[in-house]
Amino acid sequence: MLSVTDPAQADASDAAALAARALSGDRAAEARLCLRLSPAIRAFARRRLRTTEASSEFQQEVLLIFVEALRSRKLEDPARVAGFVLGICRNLVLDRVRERERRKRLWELYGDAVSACNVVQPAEVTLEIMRLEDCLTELSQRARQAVWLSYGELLSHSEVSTRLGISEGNARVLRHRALHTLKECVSSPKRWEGNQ
Amino acid sequence: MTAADSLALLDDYLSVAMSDAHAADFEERLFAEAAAGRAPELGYLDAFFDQAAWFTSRGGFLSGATRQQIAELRKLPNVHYIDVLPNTEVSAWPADTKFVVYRLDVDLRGYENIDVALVTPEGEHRKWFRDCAYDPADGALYGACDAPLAASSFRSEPLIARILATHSGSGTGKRELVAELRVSPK
Repeated sequence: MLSVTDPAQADASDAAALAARALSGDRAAEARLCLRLSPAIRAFARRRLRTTEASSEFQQEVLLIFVEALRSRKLEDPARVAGFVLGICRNLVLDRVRERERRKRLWELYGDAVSACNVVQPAEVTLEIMRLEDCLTELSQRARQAVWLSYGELLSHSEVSTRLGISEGNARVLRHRALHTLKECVSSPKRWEGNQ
Repeated sequence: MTAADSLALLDDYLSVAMSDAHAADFEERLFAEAAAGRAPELGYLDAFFDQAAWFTSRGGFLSGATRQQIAELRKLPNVHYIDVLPNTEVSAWPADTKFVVYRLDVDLRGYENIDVALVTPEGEHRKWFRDCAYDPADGALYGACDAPLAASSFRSEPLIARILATHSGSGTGKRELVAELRVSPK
């Protein structure tokens, strides 16, 4: 699983088979690939971008380029589909850095005249959200805060430790434990689910 | 590698605790695992971001509320209020209730490290509410949650809310049972 140091274990054949089918015009295979890769693309974006909207926009842009590449048969080796999409992500980041520099200059010139308005559309109340709400009560205030600052306020690792007034190492351990506890907790059915 | 290790690595990656050099390698594996449909921890954290966004619209992850906040919520439609006294029978709330807000009748001024344990009358543990915050004006505990969740605490079976805390001035750090409030479905 997702290790930096372990040798590659992933069975890429399934992905390669999907990519080969997508290249031959199978739209369902194409959609499945997009679906599978979307969380990885969003993770890539979240490491670099500060807002949910920016990450979603990045994901859409990557997928548009990917689908266009599939349909115009620019993907030469189906077995390398994951690396191909990662390459799109990296190229797009470089493009965006250049664009950001251009925009920064514009912002310095005209920023005062522009008013930004972010509207967050809350998701529907899902079973997962209710389970999470239930599980959060079992965490300490500090653990809740550590997770919240990272995943709610989207602060970086060092910003979280500064905000909590603890070392980066402690903040990291606190967050890892809390995330694991929450994952274990939300994956099991709750007593109240029978009442719904 | 365990699921916990995978989750920790992903968290390091996302929070930029992982160096860019490591992240470049990690991304190769991340995309390969995702393309192969073998990245459950990635799926979990991906969904977690969306869920956190939902909580953002409701003020975050912090539990507990103030009297003022609850008063504001009570002005909204589809909100049901419960005043939890030492022995409280809770009637069924209207079917269209979306949120249940409540007040636990206790005075916690002068206490800290407040936890609430829900137990059955036979002493069987049901649930913890950890590090609760009380209202500084009256010392009571206030809260709000979705109606189905509230049903698990107020309407499923007789339960006792045991409020445990440390007295700020005691100097011993010893936790004490401050109050027990019994709730039963009517």
